[in-house]
Amino acid sequence: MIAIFDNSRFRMALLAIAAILAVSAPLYASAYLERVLIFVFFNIALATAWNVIGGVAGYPSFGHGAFFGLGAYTAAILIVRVGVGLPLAIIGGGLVAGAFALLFSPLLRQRGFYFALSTLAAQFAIETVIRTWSFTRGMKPSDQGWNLPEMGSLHYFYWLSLGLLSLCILSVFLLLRSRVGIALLAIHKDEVVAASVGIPCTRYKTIALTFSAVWPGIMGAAYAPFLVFISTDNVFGISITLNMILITIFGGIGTLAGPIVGGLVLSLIDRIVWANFLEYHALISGLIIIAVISFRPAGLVSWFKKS
Amino acid sequence: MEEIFLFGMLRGAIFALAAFGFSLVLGVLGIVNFAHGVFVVIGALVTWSLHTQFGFNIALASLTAAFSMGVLGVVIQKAFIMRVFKLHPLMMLVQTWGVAIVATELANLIWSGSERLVRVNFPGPALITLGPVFIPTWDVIVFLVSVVAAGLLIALLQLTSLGRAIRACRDSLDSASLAGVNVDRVFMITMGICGIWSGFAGSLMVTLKPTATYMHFQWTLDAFIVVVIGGMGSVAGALLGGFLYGVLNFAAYFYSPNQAPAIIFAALILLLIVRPQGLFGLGQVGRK
Repeated sequence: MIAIFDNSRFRMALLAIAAILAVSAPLYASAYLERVLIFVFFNIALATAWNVIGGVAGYPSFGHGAFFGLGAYTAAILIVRVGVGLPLAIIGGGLVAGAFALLFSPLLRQRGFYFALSTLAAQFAIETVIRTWSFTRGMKPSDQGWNLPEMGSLHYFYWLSLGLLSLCILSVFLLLRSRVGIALLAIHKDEVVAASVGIPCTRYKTIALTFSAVWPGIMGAAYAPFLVFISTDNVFGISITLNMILITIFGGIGTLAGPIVGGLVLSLIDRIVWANFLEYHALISGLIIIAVISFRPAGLVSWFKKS
Repeated sequence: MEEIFLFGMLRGAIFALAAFGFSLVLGVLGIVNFAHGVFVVIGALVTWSLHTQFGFNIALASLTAAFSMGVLGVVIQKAFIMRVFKLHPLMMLVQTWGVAIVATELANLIWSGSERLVRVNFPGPALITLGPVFIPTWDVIVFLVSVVAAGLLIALLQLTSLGRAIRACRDSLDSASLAGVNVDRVFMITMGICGIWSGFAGSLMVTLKPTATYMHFQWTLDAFIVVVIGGMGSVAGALLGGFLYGVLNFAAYFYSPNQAPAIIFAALILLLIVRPQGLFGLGQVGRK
């Protein structure tokens, strides 16, 4: 089994088949499956982006849901108030999320639990402001959230999310192979040593945080018109952040394939549980989390690696 | 103004009580327990059940609830946290989050997720006047009980040999185990103490404010904030932090109920950036 996976030609063939299947899915899949796959693509892209700061650099951000929400709100406001097209809205969402990530960068002075807590607090603060500010249509229950016009068919959003996901994975792949990626690994291993050999840690950490915030912003901006109606309840919230973290850990933290495998398998489990044990859904996902961390902390990917 | 200060102090005592265990676990085990709020809410719900369904008197109900949360703490430590203790802190965060989900879902099966409140009948006047302010007598009783519970914990840590072992582990794990302290046992007892005091905080809170399982994460965050204000690992710091946070919390909700969470979290972020060791802390404790 392991030997076959090590064969690079076999792996390329497998990848090509998967790519063809993924691109052509709307031609034969049901509308239900198509919607499920779109959600899976969004989840994988979010987890892949989180993996850069949380997995590779070793700074577990608990505030990434905020970037997703900011992207979605930016797109909604741009589309409804200004009337721009979807591509511009997506770019806007990425830019706003990136700008907020730069504001977050003083938090990078903390580590471990403290970084996790301050990013979590930042997310709650941003969420509260958006929930209650009249510019973002908060305050009145009757007036909360944004209705977006229909911007494309299901097929359109399928290919859009697949395309964005591919770009996201490609950009992370390139980043990890660049100077920045290697520096981030060094920072993860030992930041003091990394600084002592002349790696500008603060700059690279800021780059990593911004990079991993821009993609959730972009995905959020594409998510808003797909969902048609957005409010703080469905684009903000701790569950979005936790989802990114869980998928990454489930698949294998710090690896490129981890979030992809984790996203696919976790979504599959999620669907089966939803369909069969609706009442115990949260209970079962909690048990899966505990089981994975307690018995397989390196994630699913570690099954396929030679030790 | 006086009202805000007084009511803030009254609530602050319970915040402090809920934060002691969190502070100890952070100091001794060096982990952030995302399942911490579970002790508080389930302690509250057990108290409610014992008092209203089984007719226990309130003191007995609270104590039983508190000690059963202590047992829960030991079980969580033995069954889960032990296993991943040496891994990256992130793993612990996610694992204890999973424990929190499972515990609240199981509690939902029993208490169905709705809010519960215990009404306590006691002899004497319902209100006390303190200058221009009226305060419910029961709030004052709860405040005094919390302060006594805090005193008990400080005495336990300062005066007994068990407390000495816990403090030794807090100061340095390696030296403590070199000196012959059974570290695993101390960890277990620390989680037990955490459960007892947090469960007790919940059993007091349920007599003042409706409590339900969905509030568990708010309690975890509150405990975390109190500990960050007071400094990690110090009980006296947590007590002061609790009072300060109580007043800040009450003032924020009084003056700007809509933006209160934003104000509280912004204050927390500023504090973490400027003084990560806490306002009067013993210094930053933690493995990473």
